[in-house]
Amino acid sequence: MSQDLGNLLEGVRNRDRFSLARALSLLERYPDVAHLLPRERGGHATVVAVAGQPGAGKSTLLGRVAAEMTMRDMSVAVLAFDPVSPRSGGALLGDRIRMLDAAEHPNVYVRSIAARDPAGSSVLPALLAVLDLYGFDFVFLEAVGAGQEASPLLLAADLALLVLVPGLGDSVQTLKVDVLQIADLIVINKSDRPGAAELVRDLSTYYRLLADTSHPVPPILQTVGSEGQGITAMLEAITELRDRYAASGILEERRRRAATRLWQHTLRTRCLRIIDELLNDGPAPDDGDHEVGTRERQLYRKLAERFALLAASSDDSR
Amino acid sequence: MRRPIRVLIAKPGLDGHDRGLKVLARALHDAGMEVIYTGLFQTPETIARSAVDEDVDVVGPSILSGAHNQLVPEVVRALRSAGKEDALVLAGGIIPEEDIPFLKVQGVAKVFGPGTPLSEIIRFIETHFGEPVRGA
Repeated sequence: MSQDLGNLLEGVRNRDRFSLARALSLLERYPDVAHLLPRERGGHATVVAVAGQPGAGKSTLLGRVAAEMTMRDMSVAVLAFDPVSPRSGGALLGDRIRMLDAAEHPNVYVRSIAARDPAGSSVLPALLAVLDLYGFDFVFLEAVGAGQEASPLLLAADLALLVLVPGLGDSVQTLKVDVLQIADLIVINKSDRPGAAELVRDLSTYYRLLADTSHPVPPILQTVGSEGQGITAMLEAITELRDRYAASGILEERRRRAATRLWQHTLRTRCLRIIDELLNDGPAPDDGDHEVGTRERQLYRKLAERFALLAASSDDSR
Repeated sequence: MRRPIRVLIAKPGLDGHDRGLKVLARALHDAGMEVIYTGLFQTPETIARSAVDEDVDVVGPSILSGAHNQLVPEVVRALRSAGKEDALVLAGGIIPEEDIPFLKVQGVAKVFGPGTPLSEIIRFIETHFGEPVRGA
């Protein structure tokens, strides 16, 4: 398998799309081979996460921006995440349909991903490393929403973009959006609808009065994705942010933090898996507090054993 | 670990009817597959391109326009020239019985006509890949 990946990566380096697609599948399927990849992102790709409620127009906007980027000789990859059915494990990946015009361009690569492991976060760095190796200028990560589920993508990215639309409730609803605090750029899409001006006003007030002063206030842009309005401004805002953050060292700092978080995330996932496994092992206690207490102590003992084993095995591997 | 089967369903050519295909998409989703739909009026080349980029296991063109003898072989050829000859090609739509042998010679594994139970399509795909596949 590692040899397969080696061959595929050679293909990716030579900008072969077929190898690119296969390499991403291999990593999705066997996240363990990720350690064969270079740990750091070696290329020059800027990673932009795009969050926003379903139907906000993220895919359409990205399709437009990608198309505009190709006109400026930039190459673009889009990883479009879609939710997974908790019941069947299946997924309907429908983002590509909104990006078809762009996806036909040889410098654009669109890949739909079912967001299994919360937003695919543990394989995400490996996927990004492969896209970087291919030499993309920009990699967009299209999140499933704007809440919790988007955060792994936002935290892995160099820039966080939030797409909002007017008319989805009052200003209190807007304030509930988690991502407001970490957004680097806000795009009000469907700005031809009533309420766009109010939304801009609410957001400006929020940033003036409430937002964390250590975070730069994001530019707020208005677009109509389906008409292609505001796309050039959006593209320019993205490249400008990239240049500014690169110059001021913010990008470097973010990449370092992202690497730490990834490491923590991987360990947390591994630990939680063990806990779940032990919790599901054996029948649920049902006769009173005494039994519950015993089971709890048993669990801690078993956990200690398992963690001790892990500690020993990671000693060996060093 | 086996990843879920990835399926690209597609509407090649001038055929604006995709309600049935959307129902199929949902059924495959409910069966644990990852389903990609690229919308109406696709060319065989775009379909092949999507199949490569998305690295799918199954490509399912649906044709209700009567142009299946033209379009389905073109989809198969486009897949081959894109290096994606390993994909399982299934055709669906209003396809007369007598056209099926021709399509099979062209590289279609199976043709599903009107009224095919969704479970039959699911079972065919699962059997082809060796086992009922559950999402991870």
